[in-house]
Amino acid sequence: MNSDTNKREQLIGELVADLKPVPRAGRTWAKSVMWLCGASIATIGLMLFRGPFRPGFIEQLFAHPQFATESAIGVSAIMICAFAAYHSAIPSTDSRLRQAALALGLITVWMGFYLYGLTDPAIAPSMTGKRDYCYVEVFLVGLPALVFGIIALRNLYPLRGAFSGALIGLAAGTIPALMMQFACMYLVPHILIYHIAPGFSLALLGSVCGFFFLRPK
Amino acid sequence: MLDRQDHDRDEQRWSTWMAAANGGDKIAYKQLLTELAEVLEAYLRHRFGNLQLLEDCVQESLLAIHCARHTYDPARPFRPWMFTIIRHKTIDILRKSRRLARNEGEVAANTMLNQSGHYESDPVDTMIDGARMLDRMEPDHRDAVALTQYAGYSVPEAALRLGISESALKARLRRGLIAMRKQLEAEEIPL
Repeated sequence: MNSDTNKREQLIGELVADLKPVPRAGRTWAKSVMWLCGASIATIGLMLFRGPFRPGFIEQLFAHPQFATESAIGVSAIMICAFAAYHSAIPSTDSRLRQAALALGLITVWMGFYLYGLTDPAIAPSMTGKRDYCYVEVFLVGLPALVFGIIALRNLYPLRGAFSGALIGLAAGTIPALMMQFACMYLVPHILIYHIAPGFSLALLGSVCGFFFLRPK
Repeated sequence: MLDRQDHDRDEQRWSTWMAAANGGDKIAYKQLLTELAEVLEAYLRHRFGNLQLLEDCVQESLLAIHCARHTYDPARPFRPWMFTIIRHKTIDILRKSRRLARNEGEVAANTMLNQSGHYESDPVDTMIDGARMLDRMEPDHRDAVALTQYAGYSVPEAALRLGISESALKARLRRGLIAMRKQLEAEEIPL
């Protein structure tokens, strides 16, 4: 027991000697907003690099309330998802369910709009703006945001790596998935299979990356 | 039991020390870690009794608090932040210990053989006095955990003493440690 006490005192001494001032922990939402801005700019930039957005999508946003609403819900879901990812990387007593409930709820509502759109589409289905290999584009364009997200979360202290990774992957994947509604053709089954599904697959990838790279030190 | 005033005073003091430590105040940090080490030990001893891994848990938790200190926000309560880290570290150590138990084949230095070549039959209950986490465990699992994690028996020795095969003991030990981890996960953090 005495040797344990000595070792403990020695450890405390080493930790104190190692102490350096750390910047005050910023607000989680501020960090997630910064990541969101960077990820959105990178996503739009990469998509524009590959080709222009669908002609007239801005007018469609103003002319069709259902299209504007589903897009606004999508933006909110992505924002809350990113916030939940950052929040999950700070030790707290909140359960996983509580941390992700709002984000997952909004994602569900967003998907609900598309399912409803199968019978009553928000805008007239059209092949205008069709982009070849849009599903590959969604996946690849979301990757940089995922990588930067994982690095950012690693600098915090995530205790549930796979969970935090899945949330940041979901946010990273749904940004290009949403943007593709403005860039590619608008046909709901196409959206679900070629835009949303590849976006969601980044959540799976994020979960795997999180499991391996987001282990607490 | 701490009364509410002590609880609030601790919270206030630790929070102030941690904020000062994050600003580089080594004296405050030493006071904080020294006090937390005692709190941690009491918290873990109350749950696990004289677990051999207890000191490891305390030291690993202190190290984890050190590594996570930049995530502490002085605007939020200190206790939930700290106990979340401690609980996670303890569960992590239990997991590692389970893995170790699975691979263990060596003979521990401290055998309990007596002169006649038989194991002394101390009642298991005396080894785990105060280990609240073991109370709700299946007796078979509890014996396996108590002998290997509390009394210092190696797997072959514990198997011999219980009169079961080594693989059966490893299975019981694994299940016992999983049960402990689940109890700890399910337990509310003392706020």
